[in-house]
Amino acid sequence: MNQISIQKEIDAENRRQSRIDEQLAVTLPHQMKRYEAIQQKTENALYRVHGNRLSPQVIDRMVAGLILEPSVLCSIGSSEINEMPSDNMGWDRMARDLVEREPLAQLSIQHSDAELKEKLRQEITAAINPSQRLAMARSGELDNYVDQRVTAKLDERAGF
Amino acid sequence: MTFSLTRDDISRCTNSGRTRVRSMINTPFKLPFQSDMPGPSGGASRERFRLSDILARIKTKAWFRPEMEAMLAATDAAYRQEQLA
Repeated sequence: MNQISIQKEIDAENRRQSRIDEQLAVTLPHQMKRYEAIQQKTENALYRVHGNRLSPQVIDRMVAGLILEPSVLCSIGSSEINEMPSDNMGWDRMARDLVEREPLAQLSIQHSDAELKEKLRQEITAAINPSQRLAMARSGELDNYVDQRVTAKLDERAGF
Repeated sequence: MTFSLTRDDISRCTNSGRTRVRSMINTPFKLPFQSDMPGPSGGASRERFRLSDILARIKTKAWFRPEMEAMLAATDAAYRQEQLA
């Protein structure tokens, strides 16, 4: 990433923030109430679907950017159109869509997954008897064994 | 899919003439837009604007009415449904 692309990213972020500010400035009080309810439900869904895999800063950013979503604008701006989900499953689906569209959220999830994998690797490696560990490392089996155990532990955590 | 409203849509929903729509879009700076793909026989490309940008512009005007917002929202929702189908 060179300096020009960094500057472009910064400009895009500034433009996004200006659009959010502009939109909030013209949102009427009764619309603000509807918007806050939507924000609250989306935040709950994000925590429900992704738990602590998403960093709170990323969740805040996504929730703040909701005002730019056309479906949210339609739902708060017009009493006849309500494109917001009516049940928890719908909100969860919306949360997943939001995460798919947000590169920072993807990075946050990948980072927490990598962090968890590394922690599990360390735990599993430490649990092996040192002489056995040395023997496995010499025969080249250690990495495969640890990888298999990490995958099994991750599946166990996911409930498979 | 975010860029949905054409100049005609804005004109119809806000009950404004072409000149008013043009100045609303261009002042103080031109709003970002996306052009429709031209058809096989060519033709002028239609510019589509984002609902959020248009609302931010028109809601500050003295002539703004809540019905205009509702109509713009309905037009945007219809366009998105059409794209999904």
